[in-house]
Amino acid sequence: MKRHNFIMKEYEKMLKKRDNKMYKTILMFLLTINLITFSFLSSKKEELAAASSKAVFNIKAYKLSYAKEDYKYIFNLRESFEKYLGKSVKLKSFFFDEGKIWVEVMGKDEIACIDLLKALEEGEEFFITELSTIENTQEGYKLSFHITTKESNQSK
Amino acid sequence: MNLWGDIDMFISEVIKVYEDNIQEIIEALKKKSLKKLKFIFYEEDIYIDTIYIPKVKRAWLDNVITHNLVCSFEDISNLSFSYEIISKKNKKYKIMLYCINSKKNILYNSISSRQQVVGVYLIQHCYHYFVKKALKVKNFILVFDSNNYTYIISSSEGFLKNSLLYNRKEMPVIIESLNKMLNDFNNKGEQVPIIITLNYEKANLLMEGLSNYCFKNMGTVNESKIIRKYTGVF
Repeated sequence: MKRHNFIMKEYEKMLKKRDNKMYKTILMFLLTINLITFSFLSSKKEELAAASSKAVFNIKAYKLSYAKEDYKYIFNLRESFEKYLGKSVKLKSFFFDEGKIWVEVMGKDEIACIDLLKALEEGEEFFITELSTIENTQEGYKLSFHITTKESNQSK
Repeated sequence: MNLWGDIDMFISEVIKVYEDNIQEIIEALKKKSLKKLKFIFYEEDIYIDTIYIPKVKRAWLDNVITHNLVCSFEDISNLSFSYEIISKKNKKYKIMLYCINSKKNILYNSISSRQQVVGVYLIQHCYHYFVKKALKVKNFILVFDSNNYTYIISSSEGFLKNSLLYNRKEMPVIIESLNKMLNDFNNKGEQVPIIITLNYEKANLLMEGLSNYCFKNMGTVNESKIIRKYTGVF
């Protein structure tokens, strides 16, 4: 059933225009809100991306320096330290910690350990900073000491 | 119609507009805060015509009909119209056109931007719809009183075909007009439809005056109920 509506066409047109204007305003408002949200989110995203890339960069740089300064350095030192070891002395541990090089050697006898210490003192590369007593263990004579390179000791 | 349109239909306010209360309504509209308004126009002469127009898109129908009206009226700027498609045959629409040229259109000027007219309906259509639905008849002549006027409308195949308007006091003129209308049916060889009276005080007088015809008196029905049925407003 059609309800016969005698509303004036001109008035209807005016209403349509008014509605369109209202819809446009609402649309513009929503678009503005969207735009603001989008720009805010993208700025936040950029901020986060910048922060994370910086962090990644730092980690990479840290790893690189760590590898260069610690690992490569300690292996080089270990190689040069091993030259002082005789046949009767074996190197058990050689690591860098708290600014010192911790060394642990196992000698067949007491004299071999003392010879090593003498050789180190006479050599130009290492400087013994701390020395423990020679322990007699089942494996042999254990000697632990801290060393530094003479270069770094002089710079200090 | 969308959901909001349906809700609008129920929450809008119906305002009855007579010739003599236009100014009152204009004043009342200034105070109203309600946004959606529906007007019921009383005492309107309806120009009813059957027109044929070529089959065009529904969206263009309004414009085609407006152009068609130019042929019938000198000035169509104050006209408002509504139409109903009766049939589609031979690439043509047969259209029942209802047209009014109302003084009440000045009401649009007093509508504020916060208010909105969502419908303008005629009391004749409200009564026509009510009787059509209540009695499930398509062809009838309806006589009813509203305010100071007696309306005579005729329905053919469920479409409002004719609408006449008389002063309530002019009983002889009403009978004469009805008689003429009924004679037209006889002259055309068409079956004379039933005459229905609703909210009509002088039904007995009418029956006496036109004793040869078939009558049905529906008695009295609250007019607001009739309007509500048509406009859908609570």
